[in-house]
Amino acid sequence: MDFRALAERMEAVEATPSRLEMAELLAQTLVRASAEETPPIAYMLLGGLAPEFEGLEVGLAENRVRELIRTRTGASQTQVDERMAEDGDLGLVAEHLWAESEGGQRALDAFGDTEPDPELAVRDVHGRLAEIGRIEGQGSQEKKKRHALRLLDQATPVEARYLVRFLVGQLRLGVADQTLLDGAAIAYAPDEAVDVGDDGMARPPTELRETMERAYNLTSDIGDVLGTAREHGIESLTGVEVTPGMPVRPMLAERGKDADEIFANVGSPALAEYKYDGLRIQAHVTSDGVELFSRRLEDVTDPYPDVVDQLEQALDGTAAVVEGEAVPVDPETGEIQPFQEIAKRRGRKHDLEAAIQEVPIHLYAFDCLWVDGEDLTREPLTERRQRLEAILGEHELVDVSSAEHVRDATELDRFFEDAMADGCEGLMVKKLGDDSHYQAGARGYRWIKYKADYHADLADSLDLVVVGAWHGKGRRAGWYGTLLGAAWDETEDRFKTVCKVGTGFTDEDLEQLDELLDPLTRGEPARQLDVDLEPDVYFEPEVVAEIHGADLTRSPVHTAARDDEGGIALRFPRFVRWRSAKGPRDATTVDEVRSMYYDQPTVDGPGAEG
Amino acid sequence: MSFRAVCKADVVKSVIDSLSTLVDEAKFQVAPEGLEVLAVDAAHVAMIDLSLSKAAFKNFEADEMELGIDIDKLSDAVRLAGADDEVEIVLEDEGLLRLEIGNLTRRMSLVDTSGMTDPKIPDLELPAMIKMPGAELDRGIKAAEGISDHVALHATAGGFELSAEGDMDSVNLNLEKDTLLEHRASEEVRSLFSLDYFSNMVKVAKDAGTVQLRLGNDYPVRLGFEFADGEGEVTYLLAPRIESA
Repeated sequence: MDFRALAERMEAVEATPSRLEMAELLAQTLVRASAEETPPIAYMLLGGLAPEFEGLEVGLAENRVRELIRTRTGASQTQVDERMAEDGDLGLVAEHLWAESEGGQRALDAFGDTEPDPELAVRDVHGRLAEIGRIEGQGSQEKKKRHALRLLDQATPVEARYLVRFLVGQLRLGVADQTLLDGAAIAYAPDEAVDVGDDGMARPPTELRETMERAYNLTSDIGDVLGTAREHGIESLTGVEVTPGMPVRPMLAERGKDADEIFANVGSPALAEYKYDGLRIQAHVTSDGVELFSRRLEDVTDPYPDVVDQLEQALDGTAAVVEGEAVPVDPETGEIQPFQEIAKRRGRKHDLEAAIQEVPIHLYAFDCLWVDGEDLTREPLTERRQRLEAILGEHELVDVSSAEHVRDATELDRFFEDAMADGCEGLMVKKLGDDSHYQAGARGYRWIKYKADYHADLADSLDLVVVGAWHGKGRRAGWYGTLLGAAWDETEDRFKTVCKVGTGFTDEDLEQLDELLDPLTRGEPARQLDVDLEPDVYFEPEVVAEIHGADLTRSPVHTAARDDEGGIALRFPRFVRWRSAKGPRDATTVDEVRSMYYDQPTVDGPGAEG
Repeated sequence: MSFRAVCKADVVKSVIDSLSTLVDEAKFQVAPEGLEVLAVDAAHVAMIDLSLSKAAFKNFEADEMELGIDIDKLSDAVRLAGADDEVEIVLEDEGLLRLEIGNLTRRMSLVDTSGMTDPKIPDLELPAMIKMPGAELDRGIKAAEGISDHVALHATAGGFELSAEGDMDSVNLNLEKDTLLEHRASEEVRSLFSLDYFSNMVKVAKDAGTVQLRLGNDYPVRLGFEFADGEGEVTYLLAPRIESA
């Protein structure tokens, strides 16, 4: 496939607000791709170059890319700045300047008897972007620039738009992995399996879609999954199992309000585990070594060499994929420390050793997904816990999480009190029995988190995506004064506003604001954002913040869960902390906001289902 | 297949300086009569054609072969040698080069050349030709660097001009026809070049004594000079920047 064809597809995808239409456009793109070019196309449609967990990025600073645009088009700095103010997106700036400019740096290929460049092919572009990403060390920015200039030299205006976005690492197509799976299921299913709705749009066939999603959830490599389905058919993915080295997308929990609601969902007896306030880690331990992945599937092996050692000792030669919570503890007493202590590890490359002494980490393992070649994800929870206990040997800093079977509210609350007394933030209550297998990548009522929150009137805080901001006044002039927070609408894959938050920031939080948000600035609302308010700046949905509030109320201006009575807003919001471990699609969902709203004792309503 | 060459460290350093402005690694085409390197930079904006005859070496015995060399490694290896020290370079076995500098021995692995393309030298019509001392050109470029990131080279029937413009400032180096070592310009030609590339090329060329420039209108420049007492030759080609209307 020519890169130009892909760029034009991306343009169409970017222009549609409808998830169904997007899936169909993606399907049409995938159908045209060969087996070899399917993995790169899959990564690229999601804005990447490789599976997320490999962390491969082009790695060119934005000002370098601006220099490249000037070099290639001959535009002045002022021209680029003016365009940027108008377009709000460097890719669009490039596209416009490409179309308008006749000047700029030429390549030698443009002269003499040289044959004209062939069309850029997708695999070539992907390979070269990845090559640029792998350039490191001294002078790497200059080297990256030269390779990138060559690529840009061959680009048409629409290709330049997307190449530039890849170069700065912000594709902004608004395609979520789930929508890509929809598209792939439509593309690779036999024609007769695909239903077309009354609206004329194809619907992904449920079972085949589930097969693909399961394979993706177990390997986290969307390129590999789509490539296999393209070449051997979707059915060939049924045998996919947990593979050490490839992170399993974590099983997630819903939040629970009280014992009655929890038992109504998980049944009795249930397994209650301490909910440690730490960093959720998935450890892949084999004879080749140990890899640690975060909840967002980032490789976090480097900052935690102590956890690597502890696990190797505790497992003593057993190969396993284990999940646990990494919790900072007091080196003297072994008592659990506040989660923030663990953040001290970040960015400390040189004196990591000192940080390890100051803040040792205790790993509380709570699940086991694979042991010595055997995939355990389809085994019931009790079986997995037993295997976990069997393989973990004695180690003072590695334990299986404290857990008890609970039958009723009294037992639950008693154990909850124990957890709080031991420095935990609450309990995870898990369904037992035959269908308690590990649901990779899914949030559901098989696992429920039950947290205490003495500091807020609301049962729990919200994790909201920062999508806009107003400039501060007075003491905060020059900073962002107020942030606009949004919840994620899982069904539509869009972000909807819930509150404006301007209090609760420490000076340190404020300092981080610019650093976190500036690269995401844009002049107009992000494409996936539904917004009525008009903040001074908008942000690409990326950064997640934990926000407390007094309660939820109907609002005419906010767009979350909007119906005839208006949207739902968080009252008296207060910033708590950044949730760097969470991506925009890990934020509180609109469904959750809706059910929290109707759960409030003062609200009569259609109940939690909304 | 055998390769063994002995020469002054200075010669090797000239080769390294000429190549390292454009590439990190290069394919050396070796033949019994000498060697040649043809390489293009990653952006395809500039290329180099470097040749070094057997006569530049004290001793040169070679079969026809390709050697893929990491320029940084080679540079590292000869960095410690004085200009007049002798360097012996031997192909030890496939994929391994041995350098002997006095009692110092350095072995370095060769780079796989199979992935390196063979750049084609474009056939260019370059009507103007100027020869001048490299130091003179370097002076003009240094002045231009202070105010701009590009420079205009301009040949007329009367001579040669180098000019650069900043926001408010400008630099001009004017050389009358009779102050040039050689001058041929049947028509007036002018092209603009990025100093990112051109100043590095001139920096290498200035040590050569005489440099030759060949120019066209909005067309690449060819910058040629000799080294190793005339037994080595470098030709750079650099694509122009086109001025926006």
